[in-house]
Amino acid sequence: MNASSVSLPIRLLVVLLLVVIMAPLAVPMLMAVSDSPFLTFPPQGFTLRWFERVLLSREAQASFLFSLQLACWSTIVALLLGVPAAAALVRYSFPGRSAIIGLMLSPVIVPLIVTGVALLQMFSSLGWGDTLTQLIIGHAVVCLPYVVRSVTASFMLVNRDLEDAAAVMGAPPYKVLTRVVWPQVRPGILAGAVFSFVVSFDDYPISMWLADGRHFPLPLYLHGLLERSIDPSIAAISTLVILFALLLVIVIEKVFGISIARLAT
Amino acid sequence: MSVVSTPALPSTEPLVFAQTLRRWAPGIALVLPATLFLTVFFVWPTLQMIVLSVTQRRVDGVLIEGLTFDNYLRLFSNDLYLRVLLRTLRLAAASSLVAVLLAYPLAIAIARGGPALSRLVTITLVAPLLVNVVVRSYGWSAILNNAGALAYVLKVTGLSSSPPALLYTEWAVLIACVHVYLPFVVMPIATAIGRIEPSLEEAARVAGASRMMAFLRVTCPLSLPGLAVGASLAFSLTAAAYVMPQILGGNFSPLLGTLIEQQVLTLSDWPFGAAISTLLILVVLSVNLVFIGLLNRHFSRWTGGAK
Amino acid sequence: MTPMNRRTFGKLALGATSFLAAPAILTRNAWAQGKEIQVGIWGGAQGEYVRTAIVPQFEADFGCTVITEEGFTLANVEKMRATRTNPQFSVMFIDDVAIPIARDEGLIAELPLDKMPAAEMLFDRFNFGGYGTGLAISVASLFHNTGITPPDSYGDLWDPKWAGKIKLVSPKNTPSVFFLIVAAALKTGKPFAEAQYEIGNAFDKVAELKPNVLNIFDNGPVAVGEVAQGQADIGLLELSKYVYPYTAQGAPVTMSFPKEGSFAGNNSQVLVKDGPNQDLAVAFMNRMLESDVQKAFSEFALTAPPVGGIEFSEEASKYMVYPDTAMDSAGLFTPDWEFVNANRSAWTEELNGIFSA
Repeated sequence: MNASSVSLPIRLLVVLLLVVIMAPLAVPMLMAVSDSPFLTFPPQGFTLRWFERVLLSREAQASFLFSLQLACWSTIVALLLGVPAAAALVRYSFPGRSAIIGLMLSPVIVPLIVTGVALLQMFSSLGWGDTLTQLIIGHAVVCLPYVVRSVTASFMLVNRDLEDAAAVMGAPPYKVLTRVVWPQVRPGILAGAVFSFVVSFDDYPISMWLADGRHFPLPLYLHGLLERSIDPSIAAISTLVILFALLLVIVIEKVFGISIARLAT
Repeated sequence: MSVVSTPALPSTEPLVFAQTLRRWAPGIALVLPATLFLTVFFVWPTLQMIVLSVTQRRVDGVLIEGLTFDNYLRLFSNDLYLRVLLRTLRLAAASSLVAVLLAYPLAIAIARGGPALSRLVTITLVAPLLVNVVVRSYGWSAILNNAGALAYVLKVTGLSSSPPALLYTEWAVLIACVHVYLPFVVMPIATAIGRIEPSLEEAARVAGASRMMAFLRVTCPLSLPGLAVGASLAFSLTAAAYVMPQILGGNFSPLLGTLIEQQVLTLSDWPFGAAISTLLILVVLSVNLVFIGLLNRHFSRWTGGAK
Repeated sequence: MTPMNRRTFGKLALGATSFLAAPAILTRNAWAQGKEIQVGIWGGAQGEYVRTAIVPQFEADFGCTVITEEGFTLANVEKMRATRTNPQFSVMFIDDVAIPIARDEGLIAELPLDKMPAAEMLFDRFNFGGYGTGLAISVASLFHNTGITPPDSYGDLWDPKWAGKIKLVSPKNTPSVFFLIVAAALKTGKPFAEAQYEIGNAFDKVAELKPNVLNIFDNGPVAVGEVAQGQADIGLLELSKYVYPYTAQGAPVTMSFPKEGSFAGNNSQVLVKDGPNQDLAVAFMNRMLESDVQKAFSEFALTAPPVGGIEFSEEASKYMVYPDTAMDSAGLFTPDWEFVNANRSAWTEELNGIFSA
């Protein structure tokens, strides 16, 4: 892409916006290195002992890993359900299409606390399901709209003419799918997956009802820390999470060969 | 791409009917798993909760069964709920509007910028999403309070000697909501802009349009699907928020979400909480439908040029 | 029941701190081997202590497994409700405010006190009619930045000189009820015990405080931290177990006890009805009440035990109100929770109305 196609005023504005976006995250980062035994801002002194404490804490590690695992599973389920659904909604006609579009997007509209308890009551009265399954289902429900939204937007902008052209040139349907359609919807699917992962990782209102002692996602652990910890541990965890996110982005780029920069195009 | 319309009732002639079914079959097959999943694990439990709002009520702490509209009557008997509803709508609308305005420059940077800029913006937007919303809220709290970073900067640069108290006002809640939901608005718009042929914009410039005109007349309309996705999402999420209004609004600006949380967690008044939730759902749903309906009507015309 | 009696004898004979007897106790507790219970505990320093210090020892002594899950009172009650037909938890830690609710809804069982020898030392006021026991007692009162002089009376807080300097507790938290009682007491001039029934008439008094309120907080520890940093001078109200850990660490915040009185925050435990392995659950609840456990627990969390007969160091006793005689002279007040719970919804609505205008 031609770098000069973004004008200077826009670029300045963007940089300013980025600074503002990062600002509230700088706060926990600074607090995390503060040397006082309780949360203060601005920070006093410098120390890495909170990081040490958090990294050595088995509960923090377990929570973090569990959240990762849960987010991956929820995203996979959301993708498996959402991508075909999005394709169907955009490219095919069938009765009730509008209603189903509404259905797919509705979990965003119902307050998450209500969804969480409703699921807890349902699972409990059925006496069914182990906690991990319940959590994955609960998360998949709230992640699905993000996948569907992103992927439908992507499908809507797929160039049908290219598909027709390929078919006319003799390409079999699966080739049209993989060579023409897939590259055009890939960014939408990736964006949907990213959002789904994030929503699941950060979820509290659903997890607070469905989790148990053995399946304890990070937001619940953080919440507990907030209520107990007067030291900067929570700030340290948040900083580590940011660093982890950056690391993840780099890993995705290298392993999947997908340029994050090209997420949108 | 033409908008697929809802099919008319199938003809009763056997051959045509079979053909219609065959036409519907692939779509139905693809959408069935997700539909079933949501029906069982979302619609059914939520409906049960909502039904509670007309079949139970809590009087003096005791749960009473029986058909009742008391919960809804209560919503209208006290002007508190109307005020909170209006505030919720106002904040949600403001949040999505501001988010959309801020999203465009960022989306343009992602879609049209060089690789370095594009990557920088994407990472800065996405990475913080993993940080818990409570932590981010307290981050804003530390910046916006009267002894915080913002006040410090304003004083030092001489812009204001006694900075206004932003914390514990609706403005603080608005800032935080925009901040948290911005990535969800930027990405769809960026995707949409990315799909627009640059040659279209260039053609407009060549024809004499200024950058701004080219943007407004070409880029903007063609990115509407992305805008629709982002704006409606920001609206819906803000309307249901309760963490940020509490931490940053100082609870002087409770939203419907705050009230629902109180009913559910503190007072265990499920039926009333369900009634408030139903109100919230209906309102947000209506706004979404109206908004999307408006866009759809112009959709095919404006996106006819998308390549 | 024979195993119980032998275990009690064994404990008395060997002394509560002698864990060398563990192998002997283990065989006596053979009935508990391999069983598992789920216990809902709180977060906070207390929760951590239970999880890391009390539970492992209990598991070792009984050869069982205890899964702890952190939550807070209202969520714990909700979990009990939602899992009523198929209870997953055996023991729940909740605040006393929820005990009448849980009892009336049939969520908890009456305690078999004959099987809980440690309950003998329980102060009467903490046995909740046999449906629960206290676990840790804190005091709720106003907290303040050490840089200012706190008022002698709650009434002084309405003075304009405190404008924008008070953090008020949210209706979501139990201390909000304490605040309402204070307002009612100030308006009617009656002591807490009578004033609590007049809360319905005291909302004009509450509204008068509004200009002095900087914000309404629902997270106690964070609010205490903010007062320590000077964001506000006074916090109204919070439990000592959230304030004193800061004080003990040297933060410039502490509590003060105006003349109208203070309130008791009773963290308690209940037995879930039809929960799995009731006998093991009862043994766990008993363990929580044992003197050595209570002593260490109280010193860690800076709360007072609900059982008598424990000696504390002077340093620790600074932060607690103990024993029951001291609680009386401090005027520690526990509201009529049945009355409060019946009216709380209406009061919350009023508070919302006042502060959201």
